[in-house]
Amino acid sequence: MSLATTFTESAFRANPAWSQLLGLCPLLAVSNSVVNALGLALASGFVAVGANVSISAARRLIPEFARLPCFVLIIATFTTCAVLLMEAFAFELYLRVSLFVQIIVTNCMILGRAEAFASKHGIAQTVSDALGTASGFAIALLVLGATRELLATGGLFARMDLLFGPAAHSWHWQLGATPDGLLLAALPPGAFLVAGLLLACAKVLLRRFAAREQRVE
Amino acid sequence: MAERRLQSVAALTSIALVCGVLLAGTQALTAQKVSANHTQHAQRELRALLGGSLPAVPEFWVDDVWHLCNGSVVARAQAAGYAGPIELLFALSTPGSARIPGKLHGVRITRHQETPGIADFLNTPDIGWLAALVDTDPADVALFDAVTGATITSEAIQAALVEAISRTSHVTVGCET
Repeated sequence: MSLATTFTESAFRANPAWSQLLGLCPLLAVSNSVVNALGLALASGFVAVGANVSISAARRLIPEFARLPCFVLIIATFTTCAVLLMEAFAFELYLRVSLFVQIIVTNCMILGRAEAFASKHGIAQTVSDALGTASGFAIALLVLGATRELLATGGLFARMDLLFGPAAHSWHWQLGATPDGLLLAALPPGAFLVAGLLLACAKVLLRRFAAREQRVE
Repeated sequence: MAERRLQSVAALTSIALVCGVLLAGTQALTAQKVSANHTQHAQRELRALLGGSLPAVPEFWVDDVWHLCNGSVVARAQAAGYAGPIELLFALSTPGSARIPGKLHGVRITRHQETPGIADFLNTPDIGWLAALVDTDPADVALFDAVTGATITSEAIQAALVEAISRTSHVTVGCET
């Protein structure tokens, strides 16, 4: 498979969130605003790429029967690094989402890609697979985060300065004069409702695409 | 079988070594910035606790208690929460004698790792449970009901407060009286 095909395959057709339903715990927990979602997406992407590339590079050293502890050790190392980097360079965001960054270790999306892909392919293929998986997860997080933030506060991109510095404070866009909306969307039950509805939309769209592709063939 | 075991041990050991180096490197790279961030955060909370600016007197922590010489005492405390240590700051007013603690001014959590959602009340010192502790008699702190779903967290904070309040009454250094 070409690198581009690997990327699109793992980002869209085999998307961790909407087609494999992996990594849903952090997806639901952190997606109450765009900035939180982006923070987790970046941290997960860092871990996915770092860990999978290391696993791919060391795949001939890792014995088949001890592969899971080796994978978890490597993933845990990159997760801890991500937490430390966040604590140092995005402290306010760290205070909000650090727990969910810590449990990236148990995100089966990353372990799944390590087992199914990185341990069997070369570094170049693994990079594009990990980037694809991370982008797919990021798209799902951001769509869910944006929808929930819009429903809950009637605005978008609040507190982007947590990630991009004081200049990003003005990115905040508000629909009405005052923040007002459906509080439910920001709370955990709202996460399930919004995610369920979005998932249904994604399924319908994917089915339409598949049907059209078949007709073309 | 023995060969397999040896092979796994060798692989795990070498991976652990590389991972250890990577972790130590990141830790060394970020340690200074991390501790600066935490200090800044604690100072911001302290300022909020005392309502505006910090007094001009230099910091004078004795036994984690700081007499501000204006009728207030600030203390630091640590509690063993549900998921890890909870660090907190609180202020007490001391009417009359420093030996009779007056009213609790406010409690701010400076560091915690409790479950998000359930323990969100730790992040909002101005509303909810932490706000309810304000203006209470320090003797009543232990009688407060715990937050539903966060019993361990709330009781740990109460115990830490009680312990720290008892410390404030015997530290009298720092002020000319």
